[in-house]
Amino acid sequence: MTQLDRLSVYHWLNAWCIKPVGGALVRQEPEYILLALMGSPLKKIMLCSSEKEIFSVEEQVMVQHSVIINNMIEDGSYNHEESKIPLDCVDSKTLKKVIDYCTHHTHHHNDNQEDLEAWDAQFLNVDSNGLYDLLMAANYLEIRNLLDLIYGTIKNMIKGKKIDEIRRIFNIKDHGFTPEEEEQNRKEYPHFY
Amino acid sequence: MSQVFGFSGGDDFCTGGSVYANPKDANIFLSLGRSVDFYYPLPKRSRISVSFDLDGDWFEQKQKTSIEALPDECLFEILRRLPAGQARSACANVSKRWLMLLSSISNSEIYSNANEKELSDKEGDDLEFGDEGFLSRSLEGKKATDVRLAAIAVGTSHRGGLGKLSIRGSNSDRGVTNLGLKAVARGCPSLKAFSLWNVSTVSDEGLIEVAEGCQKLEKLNLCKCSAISDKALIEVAKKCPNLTELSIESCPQIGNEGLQAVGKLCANLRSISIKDCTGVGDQGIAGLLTSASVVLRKVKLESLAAVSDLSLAVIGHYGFSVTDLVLNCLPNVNEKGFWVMANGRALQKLASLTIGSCRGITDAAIVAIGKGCPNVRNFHLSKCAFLSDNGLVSLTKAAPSIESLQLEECHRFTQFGFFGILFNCGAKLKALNVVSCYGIKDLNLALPAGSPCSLTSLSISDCPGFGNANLAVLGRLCPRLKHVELSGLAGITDAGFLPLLESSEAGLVKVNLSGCLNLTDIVVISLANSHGWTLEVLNLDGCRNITDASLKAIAVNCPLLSDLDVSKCAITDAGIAALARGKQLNLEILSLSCCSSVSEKSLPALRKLGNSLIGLNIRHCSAISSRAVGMLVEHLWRCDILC
Repeated sequence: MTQLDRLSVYHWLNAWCIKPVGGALVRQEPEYILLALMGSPLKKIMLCSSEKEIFSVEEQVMVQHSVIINNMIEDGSYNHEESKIPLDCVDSKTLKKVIDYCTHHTHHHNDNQEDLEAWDAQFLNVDSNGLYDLLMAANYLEIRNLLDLIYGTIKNMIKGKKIDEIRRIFNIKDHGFTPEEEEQNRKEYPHFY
Repeated sequence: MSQVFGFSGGDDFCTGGSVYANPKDANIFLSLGRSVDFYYPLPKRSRISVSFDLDGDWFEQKQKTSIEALPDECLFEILRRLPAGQARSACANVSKRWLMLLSSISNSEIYSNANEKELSDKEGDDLEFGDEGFLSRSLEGKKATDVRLAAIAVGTSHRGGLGKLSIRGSNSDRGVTNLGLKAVARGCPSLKAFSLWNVSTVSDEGLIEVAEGCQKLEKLNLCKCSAISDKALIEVAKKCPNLTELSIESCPQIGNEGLQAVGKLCANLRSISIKDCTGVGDQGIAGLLTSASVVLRKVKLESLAAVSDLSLAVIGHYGFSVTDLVLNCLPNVNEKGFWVMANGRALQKLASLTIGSCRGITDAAIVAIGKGCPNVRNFHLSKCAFLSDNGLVSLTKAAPSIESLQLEECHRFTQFGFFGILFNCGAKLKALNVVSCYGIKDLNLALPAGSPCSLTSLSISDCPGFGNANLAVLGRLCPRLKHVELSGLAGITDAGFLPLLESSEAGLVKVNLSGCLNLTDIVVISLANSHGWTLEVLNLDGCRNITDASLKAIAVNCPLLSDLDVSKCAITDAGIAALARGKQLNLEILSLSCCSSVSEKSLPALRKLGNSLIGLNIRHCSAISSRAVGMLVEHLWRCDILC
């Protein structure tokens, strides 16, 4: 059985106690749900990108990483046979990468830290557009560890650089300061520029 | 199956169509067709949506999307992870958006896991200062903007912390608002002194944020903040237990409730000053003083129309620790109020009392005060129109500890009162200061001989009726004078002043005769001869008849003279030269302004004097050219030259 972290389980159990299904209030027993999940680890769900491309993913994988998808599934409103989850804010290329990430981390959960980190570094070897797209997707789907990874990466890109360089790297065209303020800042902190 | 999808849970969430017009909005709600509706709980942190441009622009710019396209919360998360130090300060200057986000990060929100902490230590980020609040910043006028405040908050947080912040006025376009104060609250937890003057764009919210974020606040000074009300003051009282000094001026929305809260909750309050606040009345003052927890030392109440006798009664009964009391311009306080205050017997530690423009001060009141507050050393009474000679003389008799008495614009005070004080004062009265009392005229009858008093400092300023006769009697009565100021007295002449000099036994140290037009060289020469050994400060500003002869006498006889003012006197280059020849002279401050006969020939003399000079005033010396002034400035680089 794939490992579910305690927090997710707790979250699910809490949320599942009373759930309206089809207009009626139905009490779902936590054990039943656990059983249902444990019973079908290879259940697949379908994600639909903004370009209407459909990706089929193991339910466990997405549910373990993405809080949004997790909530959707446990809502009970997602029917495995028929429907797909439309993600209109994520394009195919990014969605593929996200699925890649989640799958790798689920299946290689027991690898040692260095290998995982190396894989992560390789994974994030994209241009800045791709990085932002990934970030937006991870933010949207609420994938905590991917978010932390990307935040950390961007933070390291900022750290230690001079301001003009930061503005160039991150393509900040309008800094929003008035000319006097900018001038004063340059005078006061010349070593930062 | 249709039952599952028929569920809506609430029409407000699932309208069946897309919730946001632009389906590309990076927002929590999935925009759906009619296929699936579901309920999605709102996230805890509000998300600000950033719409991606869907038109041609976006595709062209896809070459390189800017980080600016990220929503605030993502940028916040990135910036939150930056370690305190150089990196954060640098980022504060990258763009205004980054600055405002950085400034909204409070210390507890800075994210750092164990690995990163080690790394930053190795890199040598200087966190050694901690945040003790060593730094002090002041923003005035045009420079007072939210952006500057945010920059200060971020920039000082790792370099010792901001201890003192003063904001005076505000930029008219982009002035200080609650947002700026919020940045200060987040970034400067060690703020101790905060001063807000004339900033009407800041409201309660801002000050409440500061109170919550800066709980070590000790001094708070609010002046002309029309949008700040009791609500904020109550929060400050609740959150800042270390408050020792509170000063509120011209804040119309602050009233009794705020003061009552301060009295109850600020156990360390030492000094309170309230001026021109229409909302403050008896209840507030009473609440402040009666709270058992207050150990007030200094109380200043000025221009408060709603304060009446009751407040003074409370002060008189509860002001056990009050040492300094200032009561100015309280139109609704009557004689009874002062009388009750004096007889409350609580003001035993009162050492300094200043009363001005109160019509309640009458002779009876001031005498009661003199008796009821036995330890008052300094009395300062100004614009007390009802005080007369009787009252003042009785005061000097009744107040056992009086050392210094200053009377300003008390026009019922006459020469009889003046001498009455000198006759009757105890041994303790050392200083008498009379300013602009037009009731004083020259004596025209002989007074009985009285025992000399121990006055050491006498100042009579701008009392045009004062004349030679008074001076003669003064001479007899005050032999121990050290500081004499007789300024603006056009009525005195040599004949009156010389006896004073003769009868003075102790050496005069400070003499100020400015504006006494009729004095001549004789006086100065006599002064230099008899008191030259002790004279340190001599001011002859405006004495038109003083010539070089005086300067020659001074040069020879006054080795200790450090401050000489001969502005508008009839001195010439010869006099300055004589001054410079005085071997023992160690002048520090010399003022020659408006001396039109002093020319460039004095330059060598001035250069010689410049060895000890630290201040030189040569304003309006028309005979000295600017080239000469330039040379002087160059040569006397240690001296502060006014020209």
